[in-house]
Amino acid sequence: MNFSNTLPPSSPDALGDAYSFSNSPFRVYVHIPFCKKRCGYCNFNTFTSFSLAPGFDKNTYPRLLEREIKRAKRWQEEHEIPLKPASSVFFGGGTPTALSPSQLSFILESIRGAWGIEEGAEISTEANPDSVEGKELFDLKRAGFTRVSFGVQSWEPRILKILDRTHSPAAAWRSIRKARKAGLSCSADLIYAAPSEKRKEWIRTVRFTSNLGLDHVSCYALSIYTRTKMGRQLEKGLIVQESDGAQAQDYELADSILSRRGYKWYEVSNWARKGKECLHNIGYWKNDDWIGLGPGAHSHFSNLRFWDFSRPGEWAKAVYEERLPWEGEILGEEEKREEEIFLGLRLKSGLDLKRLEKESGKEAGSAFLSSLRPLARVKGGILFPTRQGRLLNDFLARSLMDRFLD
Amino acid sequence: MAKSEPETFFPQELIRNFSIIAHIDHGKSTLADRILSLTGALSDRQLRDQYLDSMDIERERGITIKSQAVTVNWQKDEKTYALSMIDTPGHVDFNYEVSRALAACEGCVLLVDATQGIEAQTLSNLYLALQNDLTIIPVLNKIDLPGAKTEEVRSTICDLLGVEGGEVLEVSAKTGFGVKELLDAIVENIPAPSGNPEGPTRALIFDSQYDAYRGIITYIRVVDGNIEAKDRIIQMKSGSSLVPLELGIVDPFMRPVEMLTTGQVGYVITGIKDVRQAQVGDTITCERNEAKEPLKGYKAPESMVYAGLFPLETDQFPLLRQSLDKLRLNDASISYTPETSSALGFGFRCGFLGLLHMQIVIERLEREFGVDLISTAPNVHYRVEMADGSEITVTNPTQFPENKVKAVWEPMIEASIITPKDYVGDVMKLCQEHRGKMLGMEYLGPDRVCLRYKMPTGEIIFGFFDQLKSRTKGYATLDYAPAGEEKADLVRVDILIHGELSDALSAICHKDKAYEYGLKMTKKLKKLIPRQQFEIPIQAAIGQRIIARETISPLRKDVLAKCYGGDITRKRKLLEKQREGKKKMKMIGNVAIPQEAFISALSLEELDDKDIREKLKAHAKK
Repeated sequence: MNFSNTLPPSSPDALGDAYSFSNSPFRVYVHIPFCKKRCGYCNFNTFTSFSLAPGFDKNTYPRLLEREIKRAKRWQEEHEIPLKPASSVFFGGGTPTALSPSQLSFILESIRGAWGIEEGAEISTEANPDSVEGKELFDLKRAGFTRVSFGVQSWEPRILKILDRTHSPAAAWRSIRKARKAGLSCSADLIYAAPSEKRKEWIRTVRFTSNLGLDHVSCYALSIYTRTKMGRQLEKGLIVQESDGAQAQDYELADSILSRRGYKWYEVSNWARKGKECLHNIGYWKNDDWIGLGPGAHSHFSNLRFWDFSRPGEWAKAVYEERLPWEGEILGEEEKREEEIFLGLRLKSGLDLKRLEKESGKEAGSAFLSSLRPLARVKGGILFPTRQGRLLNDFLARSLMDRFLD
Repeated sequence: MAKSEPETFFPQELIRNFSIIAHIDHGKSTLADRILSLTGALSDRQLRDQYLDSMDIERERGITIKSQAVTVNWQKDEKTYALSMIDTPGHVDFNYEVSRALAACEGCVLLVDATQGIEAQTLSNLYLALQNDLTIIPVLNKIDLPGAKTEEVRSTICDLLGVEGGEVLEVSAKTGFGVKELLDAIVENIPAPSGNPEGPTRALIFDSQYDAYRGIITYIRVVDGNIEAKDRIIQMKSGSSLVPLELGIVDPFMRPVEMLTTGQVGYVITGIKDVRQAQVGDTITCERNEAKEPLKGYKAPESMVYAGLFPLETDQFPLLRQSLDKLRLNDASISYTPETSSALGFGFRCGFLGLLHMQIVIERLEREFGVDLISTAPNVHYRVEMADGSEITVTNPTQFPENKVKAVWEPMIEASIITPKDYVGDVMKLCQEHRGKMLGMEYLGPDRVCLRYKMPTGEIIFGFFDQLKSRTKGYATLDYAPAGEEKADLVRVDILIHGELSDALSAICHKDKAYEYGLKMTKKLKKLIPRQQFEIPIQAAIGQRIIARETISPLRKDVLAKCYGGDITRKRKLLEKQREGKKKMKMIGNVAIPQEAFISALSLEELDDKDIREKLKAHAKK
């Protein structure tokens, strides 16, 4: 039914030629593929060695990104894709703070130079709690960063060890305090359903987090991928993966605790104080345009999705040769509709059912809607996922796709 | 021997028709290849391994399914002979085709692997040949292999056939050693065809195949008289009358000829596309020299195994019907009648010669005709006597009456199992587990034993052969033949999924095994059915009585925490794949069941865990 499954990826030029205009906001994601140590569960495109390929190391990386930025801008100009100032910038990884604040600042300035950054834009970086000192946080603030998201994961030393994290709870606590002092809006990432984690350990972690005066909390279930260290431990039977039932309980507990402390969910895995939602993150689910920079980063422009080569050598070679290190796909109407469904369902703002009905020419019908009842409810033409529906989001998405797609 | 244009006309006395009978892996196809190259029918370059096994499935499984008829030329004493080699299948499911092939021959080569000795299958085919009064040329193959027990096997063959040791030829089909002598022996020992060249024309259809480009290709053996390419031919049973588009021989390429004479083996293409007009076993005659009496045909083969075949996509039902019609043409042993299942929709209840035959038919339907199929668990047929004196034949568990049954009769077989004597105990235990009654036991040589058992057919056709192989480290061989029917204590076990009866999963079991079936089936389904957002009970029941139950717990969470780095594409493709997967499932009520569930009864034997063992033990005590 979908040909995109079998089509080979399109080249940057083919992508550019197929672009159709949209007036969505524009955002920038920067991938920093360095880490001191790879965590046992990590399957991200990240590397512990600081020299990833010839001419590609921590020192040359900002310059490489600068080249990609310039080349990307030229691509937009060549294909008449409108240039807009960035509404938000997000540095993720890896560990962005593996680079120094001055290096991060250099990259930020390259972005500002190419596209401009809107006044008051949200500029975030992820950080390892033990990779930033107090001074660095002030430097980041001075460079224009507004927000730091700390990879806290847990406040239990036992769980941090299972997760292979290098930081101590105390270091995390100090980093967060200093970041707040520096005037940065702070977020913490937590991981639940780590192997052998007891429910009370998870409750302690969420409670403690909710007492720190943070603006934002993300809770992610631990996903164990086959080709990671944990994946191998799982195979050998050294660890056991928590059941989906246990994961659901952890999620519900976190949702209840965080809600009581003034954090409201706005996306499946994210909670924030009022007005402190991560706009960059919401942009992904609202189908905004964004460009991803660095190996393995993904981009979206209207009907185009493309991604940077994920192998550092291949990526760096292309960038040195002033070629775009990308390949991607052109979305048809069918794919766009599929995405609209599963993206919208992750958000508190819900899925615009009226629009979907209009665009697809198909009616949801009250029988179908009531069959979704425990998972979603409709109000004012918008379909909102319930807490159960957030957890069974894939099922919900498939049901809607079956209804609205051929 | 290099051939430019081969002879195509042969007087009767220069024709020899034979087939090779052998057990699987005893080297029949290799020998056929060697004969093709030695007679110059195929150059080495043309010679692919196992030339005669032309179907993909045959090649992959290394077994011969369809008989083929190839004519080669061989010179002896300054005369050129036409040797027609009619290939036969080597699996017990295809005995019927063996007898068809043998009916077109005057002799056969009994090929025995010198490293293995006589196997159960070889014995039964040999008896078929003897019943047909064929001349038998015993041949030992693989005599050059280090493990060859040439003398021991030779003496077994001598005892069996009552021949002298010197009459047993030795070959190595692989190297070609002895093949020349074998061809000479075929000319010398096998009689020329005996038909009447002056009599009315009669030719036997012993095989036919459907070719997408040429229509039906009918393989014939001229018994009396002759057929010319310009003759109007009549198929005596169907009554159809046509001028052939082509008359020819296979050498091994299809070569048109002007005439086929008495004793010759060849093919006819008439352009017929309707399968019912080219029945194997029918007699062909011609208008010019019309016969009044047809030849004695074949006994129609009996189906041993029945299963429902259903198209995955309901709109493929007409395609399935057409495909079965076409398959039936070169496999007359398939039978089929339409049936409807509440779970699977419209399909056919098909009869097969055995389980391997069923698997091959399903593979051919999928591969050659592009039909995606679901097959139900196979079963045998039962005769049910009702309390009111009426009688029904049950080929589908759903037809099995729940009450007012006076008696149920199940088909029986007599099995011969040949095994090294060290495994006799294991084989006897296995047969008892399958309700077998021993009929006899005899020694074939110092350490090989032939055990004979009477068993219910239903016990032997599913998995028995695999168990036999695994308990005898692969040494035992099995052959069986139908042996009437016996009264049995049978019940129908139904499977309910989320309270809904799934007719395609019902099975007829012996009373003592019903609990085991219910227990294993519910466990198997629990593993196979994906969890849904509600709890799904799976129950096994006899009538209204639930005998086993498993529960699939509801799915609580399926959402991925995040799409890393905005990789929306991967997420979309994952959802697309899941939706595709679900489309391939069948809905029973509101539960999606994967296809494997419907054939899982085939592999229930493998299911063995502590829980099952304990429950079965507790049940046995009750």
